[in-house]
Order: sequence, then structure tokens, then C-alpha cells
Amino acid sequence: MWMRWLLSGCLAGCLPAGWLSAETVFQQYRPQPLEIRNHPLEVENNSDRPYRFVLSVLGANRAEFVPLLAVVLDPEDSTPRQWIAVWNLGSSSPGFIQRVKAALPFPWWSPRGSAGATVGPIRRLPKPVLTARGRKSGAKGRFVWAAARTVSDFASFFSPGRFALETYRDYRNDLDERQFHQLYALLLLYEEAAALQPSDRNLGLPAIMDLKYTALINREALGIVVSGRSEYWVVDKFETRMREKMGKAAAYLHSRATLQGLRFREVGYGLDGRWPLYRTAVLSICKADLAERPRPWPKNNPFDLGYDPFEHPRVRARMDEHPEEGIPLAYYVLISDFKLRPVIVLNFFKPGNPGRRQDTAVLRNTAENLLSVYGLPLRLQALRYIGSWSLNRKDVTFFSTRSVSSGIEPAKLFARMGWHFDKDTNRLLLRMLDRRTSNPLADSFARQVENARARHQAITRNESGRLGLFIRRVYEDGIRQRLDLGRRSISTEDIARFRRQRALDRALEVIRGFNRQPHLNGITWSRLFQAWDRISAADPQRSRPESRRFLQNLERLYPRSVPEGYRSQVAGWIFPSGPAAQSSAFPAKSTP
Amino acid sequence: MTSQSSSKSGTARTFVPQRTACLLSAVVLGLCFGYDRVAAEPVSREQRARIILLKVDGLAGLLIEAALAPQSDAVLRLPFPGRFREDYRATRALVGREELFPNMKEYFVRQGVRAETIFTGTLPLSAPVWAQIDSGQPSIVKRNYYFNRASGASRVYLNGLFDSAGKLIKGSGRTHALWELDLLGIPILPDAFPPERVWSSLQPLSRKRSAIQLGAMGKFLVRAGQREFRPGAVIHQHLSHLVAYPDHVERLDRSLSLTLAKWLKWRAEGDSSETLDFITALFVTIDHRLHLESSYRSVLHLLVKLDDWFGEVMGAVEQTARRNRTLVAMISDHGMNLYPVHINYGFPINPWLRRPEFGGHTVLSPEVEDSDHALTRPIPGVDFARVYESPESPYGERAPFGSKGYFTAFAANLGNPRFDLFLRHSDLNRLHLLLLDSLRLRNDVEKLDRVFGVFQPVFQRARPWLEADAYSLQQASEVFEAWSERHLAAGMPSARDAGSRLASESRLYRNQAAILRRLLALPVEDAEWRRFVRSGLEIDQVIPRGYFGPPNSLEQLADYPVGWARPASERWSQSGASPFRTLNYPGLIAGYRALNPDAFGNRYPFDFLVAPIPLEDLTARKGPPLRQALWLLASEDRGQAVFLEATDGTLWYAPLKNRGELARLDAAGIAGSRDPLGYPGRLWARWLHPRRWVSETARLETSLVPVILADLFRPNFQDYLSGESRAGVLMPLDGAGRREDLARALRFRFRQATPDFRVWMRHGWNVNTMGQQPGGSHGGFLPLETQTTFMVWGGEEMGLKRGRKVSGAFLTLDIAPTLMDAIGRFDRVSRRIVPDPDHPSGPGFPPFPGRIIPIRQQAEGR
Repeated sequence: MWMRWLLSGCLAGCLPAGWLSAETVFQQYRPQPLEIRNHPLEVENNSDRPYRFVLSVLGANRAEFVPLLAVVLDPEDSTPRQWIAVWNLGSSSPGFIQRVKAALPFPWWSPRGSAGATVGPIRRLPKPVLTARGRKSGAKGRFVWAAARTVSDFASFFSPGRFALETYRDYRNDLDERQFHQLYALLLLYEEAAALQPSDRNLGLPAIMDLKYTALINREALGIVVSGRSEYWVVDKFETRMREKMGKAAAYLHSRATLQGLRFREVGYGLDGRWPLYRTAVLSICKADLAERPRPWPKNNPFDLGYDPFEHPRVRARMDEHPEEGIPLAYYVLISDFKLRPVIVLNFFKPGNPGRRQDTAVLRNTAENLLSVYGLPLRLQALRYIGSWSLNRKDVTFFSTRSVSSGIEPAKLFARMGWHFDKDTNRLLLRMLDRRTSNPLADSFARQVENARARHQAITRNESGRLGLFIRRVYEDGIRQRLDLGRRSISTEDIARFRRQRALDRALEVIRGFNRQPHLNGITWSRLFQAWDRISAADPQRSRPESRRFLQNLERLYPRSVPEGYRSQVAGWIFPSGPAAQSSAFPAKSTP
Repeated sequence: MTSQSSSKSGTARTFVPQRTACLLSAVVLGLCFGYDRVAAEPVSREQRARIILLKVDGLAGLLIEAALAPQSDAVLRLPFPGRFREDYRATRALVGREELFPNMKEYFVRQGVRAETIFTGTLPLSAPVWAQIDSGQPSIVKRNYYFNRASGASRVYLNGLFDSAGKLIKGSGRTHALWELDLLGIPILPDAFPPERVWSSLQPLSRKRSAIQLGAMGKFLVRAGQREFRPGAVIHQHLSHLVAYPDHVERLDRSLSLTLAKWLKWRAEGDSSETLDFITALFVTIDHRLHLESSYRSVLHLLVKLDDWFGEVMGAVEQTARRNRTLVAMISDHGMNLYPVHINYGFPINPWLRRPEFGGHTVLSPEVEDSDHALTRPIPGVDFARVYESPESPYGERAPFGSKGYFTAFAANLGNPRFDLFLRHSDLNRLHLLLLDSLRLRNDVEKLDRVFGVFQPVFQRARPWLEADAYSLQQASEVFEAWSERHLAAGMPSARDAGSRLASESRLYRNQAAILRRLLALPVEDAEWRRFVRSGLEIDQVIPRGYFGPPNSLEQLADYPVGWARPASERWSQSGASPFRTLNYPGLIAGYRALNPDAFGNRYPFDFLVAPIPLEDLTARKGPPLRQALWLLASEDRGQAVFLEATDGTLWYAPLKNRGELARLDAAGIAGSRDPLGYPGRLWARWLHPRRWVSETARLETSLVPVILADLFRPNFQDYLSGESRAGVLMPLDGAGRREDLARALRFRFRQATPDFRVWMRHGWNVNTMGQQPGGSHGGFLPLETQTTFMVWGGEEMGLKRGRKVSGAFLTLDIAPTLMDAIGRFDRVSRRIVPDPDHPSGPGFPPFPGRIIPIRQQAEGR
């Protein structure tokens, strides 16, 4: 570790020459034009009509296309289940050596490929991050891990093996969290790009929402118990919280900077003409702003600079050289698992400082794992709990186990694309972002770039080969599962049946949507009638709970809230025995 | 009809002449007293109409208009209308409905009636506006915090958790905000109905303990939102919530809608009709969420949820026996200034006041600062006032002989772009400083004499108001104590609650009065004073903590002492120059430029400050008799202005070059002045009725400034303490003499809530001591903030208009008379509520100053 700290000290001398002025360096704004390239994909099957899918690739459209995300979708399906498989092109599975390293109870400081990376051509089809056949596979894996851990906790004996497993689990969880935030940022970008370039072959908005939902429920072991039906409120709540957190951290940093006499500038990441998706901030100092009487530098401040900028000799020297210019001090991402505190990524006058904070987090994890193996007396456990709660409450950034990947990963993605800053600053930023990635399983930015290139090639090269085969397997697994066909091969008839079944599912979803409404109907009556026609044809006995509830709800609305043109038909459904039965009195209950 | 029915029954025939006579007399009386009196006659219990009042905190009128008609021009008044429409389409796809708000559209747009434009009649903050809506009276509650200049006591009106805990522990359901109205005898709408026929959810003004709601919430939380208790499903739901945790405020609102739907049908034992006549529920999710984040997609999703909750209630209404005699109103207290791209930055007002350049004040904060990081506030909502010492305070521990706890500033703020500033009286600051230095120099006779030389005139100047305050404090303490004993002896939970509140105020006042008397007893003769300083002077024995004294005048604020001008060693070595360091607060605020701009690039955080002008300064003025005068000073050298309000309620506005022109306002000294609010010149220096003012300036963003300021600064409490003195919970009184004492004590108490001045911030800046609120805000004067919602639906027998939007500008003051009129319980002549025959002991309502919004068909016909 001392060596790393020594290195970080040396980095101070490696800062780019052009970074001096906050106004000039951080003003450079180059939002990348994003493009969605849709490739049709025909896949043979057992019928005479092949499956028609679309491979939709999101990328930055520069001199050369920089691929970011690939999705295979069924263009004939407009439901949330339109997607079949998704690849986060920049992210790859860790190799055997990385996994072994992660299992060694040793604090690793850097990600894979941080010293430079080359990724050769990939022969096999890269593993997708989500597939339609394993919507909860991530959650299931976590559940198994959690169950195994609980069992080993009950056993409560010291085992070096368990220590190794715990360490691996920590690194693995961190990697999953990073990959989740990468994927989420990419989905947000896809959504924005699709809004700017609308096309029938793009992934639809409900499907993007379903992807986000699937990614969200796979973050937790208990995701296995969450309903499979995508629920918009879950996604909406997550994104609202995300924006709220960034807003609060920005406002907090702004107010503290104002009080301390430092300059604050928000740097937003978003597409041209659209609202920012992520917010970051630059802190700077200017000699012209200095008060006559220097303000005492508070020990507890949110800047995490590690020094008093008003007293730092090199800062003062810079200010003397350029008294009218803002001298950049630090760059922050504004979202993390901390309550309010912004996460320092780039510290211009103490470059090792952000990485050191990350190192202490690794040390804390290692120590925690060791303690969990040995066990602590109850009193010490209580003390540890109170101490940990207080430090978390205070947003202390040293030795904190709170994840910062929600801010780091999107920032890395944007920096990889050269979104905001001049080349020198961007390179430095990427290096510092890697320093905030202390995980041997994770990829460095250089490796992510290489991954994206190689994986994109591997997928597109396999358009009619392995990719087709894979997609067919996933798609047909879905057919088998839906039609309960066991493991047998899919015939032309099965495909036709599946299409009918899918139409029925769509109709059922409309009816369910109607049933979920507490009172009046917001779905157009014609759509509702089409859906009901389909359902009643498939279920003439009205034995499905959805059908029964649908009729009950209609009865409740009849006649007042049913449009006149539809009343006679509705009456026929709800009062099949004739007009004599057409009275629906609702006696009031005597007590609630 | 009469003859037909009577012919069927021989017994009925004999009553025909009597009934005809009754009918005739009713018609004659109707002709004599007008239709309204007839309409106001009480009807039988079964036929009585009922009100369901759905209050939605922070539902902006412009926003709901745009949401209900996304293709209309209403959308153009929102920021980024194109994005609003895009997100509307996206939300439709995501929710799976073509019509996002089927219930609101059906009941309020197609079948109901709504006010096209309704503004807040007072400051657009929750506590003041709900108090105004519930009481139908001009504002008594002026902000979300209570602060007493005499005792230093402070309270939060919106601390729902504390109120609920108080209700559960003490038994009384009265909230802090309602206590303010109760003291003046101002009832709220639910008081017009027998208590057993009223159901109210937790809200800033409620009287009853909402055990039902709390119980229902508990049940809802335990069941994880499941309607029926099926253990497997409940456990499954709880486990799901661990992954995707729903917002707790949202869950409470959902549980509220379910509870409401249930209780609508409730019948008390022996009651043939559904029992409840007045049902009121407050939904807070929208305000809560929009303060934190206000992107259109999340706003629309929230409105979809609101529509679902409303649908839940309407579904139940449709099934009730009293459906056709039910009136459902959805109202809001204020709007929300949302600007989805930019976030609101927080201005740290309390740390700012603690800075030496802004006064070095030790401040009282009604809640913990930086609440997200505070260890002492583990649960949101559980909080209390605390003092934050300034290291620069000249009265604090760092000063010789100084001590902790002497706060000299209180800024009432809560996440919105404004605050009220209370500063300790400037003379008291001087006295405090001089006494501290006297102690420091007690052995230096020569310098002590110099101190005395300065002390003597300051003390003489302060003596009259100190004596008046000491007397008033003592008197109020005695009156409150006497009434506290009486209430405590009564034994009723409500009386006990009143008694304990009065006792607590009495104790605080008595303590302050005793210290003030000791201050007034300080020797005024040179040698004696010197002896006293040397022998037994203790600062906390003569300067009361938390005592601010009367508000500072504008002159005092412009020369406000905040410490010493020179270091201790040089302070008394020369005579002549003032030893005090002073600040010019109006100048400081108007000229303050923040280092970091807001998201719009604006470096001036303060927009303008407003302070009252003593009417004595305007005695030379001709024109109608004045009720109040206000001075407005805008930042960034944008000018200043004066508002006058006459006793008949008309308003007068004119820009000024400087405050010196006040004396010759009639001489049109306004020529060449810059108008900080940008009103057309034709409105300057003209007496206009407030409603006329609003209609003349309707297109301006600053339209409501004079109307709201007039209400906000007017000491409305005086109207309820004079004439037919009502004196609320303290009635009935034994003798006329004590009635006057009581009125005087209450007048003193309400005067103590007057700030020195009020400040509004620029768009993009929030003032929040507690934490950060980067989303929308309210409390300013923009239409998005001041325009509220009033939408009504009524059953067939209610005679409401259908599918209409009532044009014209209305105020929240108009809601109470409109609702009571709609159920036939408003007497248009006396402008009072017609008492309920089942509730003879109900309180008498003062006349409503608001007008009736023409939502009834009959009203339009006339």
C-alpha cells in the first residue's frame, strides 16, 4: 500500500499542463452524438418462415462507431417482453486468474487491465448480461450465495476457506453493482437516443422499462420473490431517487462551497437538447474571491481535499500566478451510496487522495470479513454497530463500505466516450476513475474500450451463425416454457400456437390493467373490447380469475360509467340471463 | 300534488290549510329575505348534504390543468411544454392507459365544475393557506413556524409526527396551528358539524385524534398494502418491498384513500343514514416528492397515483346511499414552482447569519441543521429547536463574561425561497454589550465611567418599551395562569391540552418578566451603578435569554449593532466615536452577491425584502385612512417601492427613488423611479380593490405581490380581539374586566410573532436550514406557486354545474363560503354559517370575507 501511496504522490507531477484554469479546461463540452444501428436478423427454424429479429446496437457515432450496448428484440412484439438478450459491450466476465485473485484474502487495489489492455478477437459469442429466459438468474445466484452464507454463519467456525469465499463474495458483489450501473446508464442513453431517432425497430419504451426493472430486481437476493410483471413504479422510484440524490448532493456541495469561499460548477451529462442524465461538479478556487480575513477551514467538510486550499503552498502559488482565474481543485461525481456527500474522483493537488479513500474501503472490507470469521463478543459487536452507524450517518468517506459505483461507472462511461473534457484532463480522469475501482474482477477503462470493440465484432460477425443459434435457443426456450412443451423441438404448429398465445397474453395484460384500476377505466373501450373478445373466445366458461374480476368491475361501472355505445354489449356480458337481471344495487355496509 | 295526496287520506286533509299556510309564509319570507335565507333553512337529517374535502398539498393549478388537457394551451404556461407532452405520451405507454386520469377527468371535467383561476389568498405555504382555507378567514398563521419574540419559544406547524405523538400521549387532537386559531375563537369548517359526524385525517389543522387513520395506517403497513390478511401474500409482499421499497409517504396516502373509502359508508349505531357529514383528508405525497425531484415523468406518475386514490374514494361514493347529496371537492393549498432541468440550490441562512460579516449571530434553529447527517435526528420528523452558537458572537462564551444560549436571530424557513427574519432589538444588543464590557472593566474606574456614559442614554431610550414589555409579560402570565388552572380543572382532554399550553406560556412569560424587572431596576446614578457592577452584576440575571423585544424599526435595522467596532484595548481609550460595530441589514441583503451563482447563473440570491413602515411616517399624506404601509427593497439595485393598504381594503402601490420620499408621496415623487416589480405605470399611485388589482395584472408574474403582502403583514388577529371579542378557548369569561385583560394578553402574545422583515429569494435559490430540497419550491409569487386547485363534483341533488370551468380570479379565502353555500348552510346576508340544529353548542362563526365561487346552477341563474 505504501508503494501505491508513494506512486500517488508522484502522480502530482504528471498532471497535464493544460489543466490550470477551471473556466477553460472544464468548459469543453462535447456531448457525443449517439446512434442506434438496427440490424435485421433472420433465424431459421423448423417452419418455412424464419424468425425475424432485430439486433439493435447503441453507440457513439464518431469517426468510427464506438459500440456500447447491443439488444436483440422481436420487432413484432410491442409488449414489455419484446427484448430477448442484452449485451453490455464494455463489460466482460472475469477470467480464471481474476477469480482466484478475488478469492485470496488480500486487498487488491486496481481493476483488470489497468496497466494497459488488449483484447484479442473473441471466437465464442459473448455472454449477455440479461436474457429473456433467465429474467431472475442474477437474483437466484445471489439467493444461493446468501443461503450458503447463512448456513456457514450457523456453523460458526473459523475456516480459511470461508474467509476466501467472503472476500470473493465482496468483490463479486462490487462487480455486479458496477455492471448494474453501467447497464443502467446505457439503458438511459438508449432511451434518450431512441427519443431523438424514433424507429419501429428500436426497442420500445415499455421494453426499456422492463429491462430496467429486470436489472433492478436482479440486484437483490430477494428479487426472486418479486413479481415477474414489470412494475413501472419500481423503475420510477429508482430513477426519482437517483435524480433526487444527485440534486441534493449538488445543492449540498454548492452551499458548502459558497460558505467556504470556493467556486462550484455543475457539469451535466446528457444528450444535446435533452435534460442531463447525470450530474457531476468541479470545485475551484480563485484569488479574487479570497476574503480579507481567511475563514477557518472546518475539519468536517464535504470536499475531501485532504488539505486546506487557502493554505496549500502550491495552490497559493498558482493563485498568485493567475489571480483572476479559477484554479481547479477537484472533480466530483454526485451520486453514490453516501447520503449527501459527493464522491471525489480527481484531486488536482493531492492526486492520491481519492484512491486512498477507496483503499481504506477495501481494508475495511477485509477487516470485516476477518472479524466475521473470528466473531466478536456481544459488547464489542454493539460498539462496532454503533460506531458503524454513526460513521455512516456522518458520511465519513475513509474506511467506509458504502459503494461509490453508482457515480463512478457512469462517469467512466462518459469519460470513455470523451464526453466533456480536453484529452489530457480526460485521460487523467479515466486514470483516477480506475483508482476508484479497487476490484480485480472489474475492468479498467482501457479494457472496457477493448472489450466493446471485440465483443461488438464477435456479435455482429455471428449475426447468422452463433448469435442466431443462441437467440433461437432463448426464444424457443420461451416458447417451450410458455406452452409447457418440455424439452421437445418446436414445430410450425407450436410457433403458430405461441403467436396466438402471445396475442392472448397481450389481451390478458390489457384486462389485468383494467382490473388494477380502482374505479373508472382509463383504457380505451375499443381496445378493452378487442382484448375481451380474445379472452372470452379462449375462456368461454370465464374460469380465469382475471375474467371473473373483469366482469365484476364492469358490473360495478354499469351503466353510469360505460359509454352509451358499449352499454348493450356490456350488459350482454354481465347479465347473460337477460334484462331482468339488470339491476346492480350496492347496499351500503353498516360498519366498515 | 297536495290535493291528490291528501284526498287519499282523510286524516291528512285537515292539515292542508295549515301546510298551505306554511308554504305561503315560506314563500313570503323568501321574498322578503331573499332566496338564500330559504336555501339556508336546515333540512332533515336524512336529506342533509355532506362534504368530502380532498386536500392535496402542493397540487399546482397550472400543472393539473395541463395534465387534464395536455393538448391545450395550459401546457404552454409550464416550463418546457414540449417535454411535458413527450413525457405525457411516454407515461401513457408505460402505465398502459390511454387516459391517464380517468377519474378526475370524469368527475371534475365532464361531470363537475372547477375554478379556472384560484390563487392563494395569503403566502403560498402549507400552514398559512390551510389555516385560511379551513377557517375562511384572513391569515392568522403567517408561516410554517411559530416564534415568540418575548419568550424565544418556537414550534413547527407541520411536524406531523410530533402532533400525532402529542395526540396519542395527551389525548387531545389539537394541532399547534389550530391552537393559534382557537386562541382567537376562530372555528374551522369541521366545527360547523357535530363532532361525531366529522372525520378528519392527520393535517396541520385538526382537532380530533385520528386514531382511525393511525390504526388504518398501522394495519396497512403490517399487511404491506394487501386488502385482505392472507399471511402468505403479506409475507411475500413484505419480502418484495425489501427489494423495491415503496415511498412511505405514498403508502400512507394510499392507506388514507382506502380508509376513506371504507368510512364513507359507516353508520353509527341507531343511525339510519350514513353518519358522516364532513370528511376531510390530506394527501401529502405530491408536495413531499416535488420538493425533492420534479421531472415531468415522475410528476405525471404521481398524478396517476393521485387519480387512483381519488378513484378509490369515488368508487365508494358511488356505492353510498347519500351519493346524490354528496359534494366532493379536491383543493390544494399552493402550487409548486418546478423547473425540471435545473435544481434549486440551498442558501444556508443560519450559517450565513453566524458569520461575522453578517452579524455573527448565535441563532435559534427550529430544527437540526444538516438533518441528513445529524446523529440526534435518527427518524425524520422527530426534531426539536436548538441553539447554534456563533464563535463570533459578542455575547457568547468566547467573549469575556459571555455565556451560551443568547441567540439573537431566528430565521423562519423551510425549504422554500423565502424566510422571515427575527432580530433582537438593537437597544437590547447595545445594553448587553455594555453590561459585558462593564464587567470586564469593573476595576478600571475611568473606563467604566465612559461605559456608563454610553450606557445611560441607551438605557433611558430603551426604558419605555422595556417597562411596557415587562408589564405586558407579567399581565399575560397572570391571565394565562388563571385560565390554565380553570382549564386543567375541567378535565376534558381538549381543556387539559389548552391548560397545559397556557401554563407553559405563562411560566415562560413570568420568568422573562422577572428578569426584565431586574434589568429595569439597574441603578441609573453613576456611583451606585459603579458599585453595582463591582458587587453583584450577573448578566443572565438582567438579560433574559430568548427575549428579543419589539421588532426593530427600519432605522434601527440600518444601524444594527452586532458587536464592537474596535478591539478591547482601544475601545474606551477615546471618546466620541460610537464603540459599536453596526450593519445595515436592508443594504446588506439588497447588495449581497453570492460567490456561486444559482443554476440560472444568478449571483444575487435575495430578490427583495419587505418591512412595515410606521404609519406615523405618513401622517402628512392625504387620502383614505391607512391600515398599513410596507416598504419593498429589491436587490441588485433594481429599485424600491411602497405599498399602502387603506382601512377599506383597497391597495395603493408606487415605486420610490428612496425611502426619504415617503413624506411626499402625493407629490408624485415617483417619477423617474425604477419599478422593482414591473407593473404598468397606469397602476401606480392608484387606489384599487385587491381583486381589481389581480385582474389588471393577471398576465404578470408579480400580479399577486400586493395582495399577498397586504394579508401577510396585516395584524389580522386584532380584528378578532376587538368588538365582539370572541377569545376562543378562553371563553366564557366571568367579568367584563377580565375580558379586557384577556384581550390585552392575547394581543401582546400575537404581536410577539412579528418578524423584523421578510425576504424572498430569486428563482433557483432555496432557504433551508435543515437539509437540501433541490426540486420544486413555493412561497414566492409566481403563478405556478400561487395558483391552486379547486375542483368540485356533486351528486344529482346538489345542483352543481356540470362540465364547466368557472371563469374569473378567486382566492382560497372563497373556498369555505362556497362549500357551505353548496350544501345550503351559508347565509348570504350575514355571511355566516347557519348553525346545525343537531349541534346547538357549536361555535359561532365570524362572517366570511370571501365571496362565493358560482359553482351552483341556481347561483348562475341569479
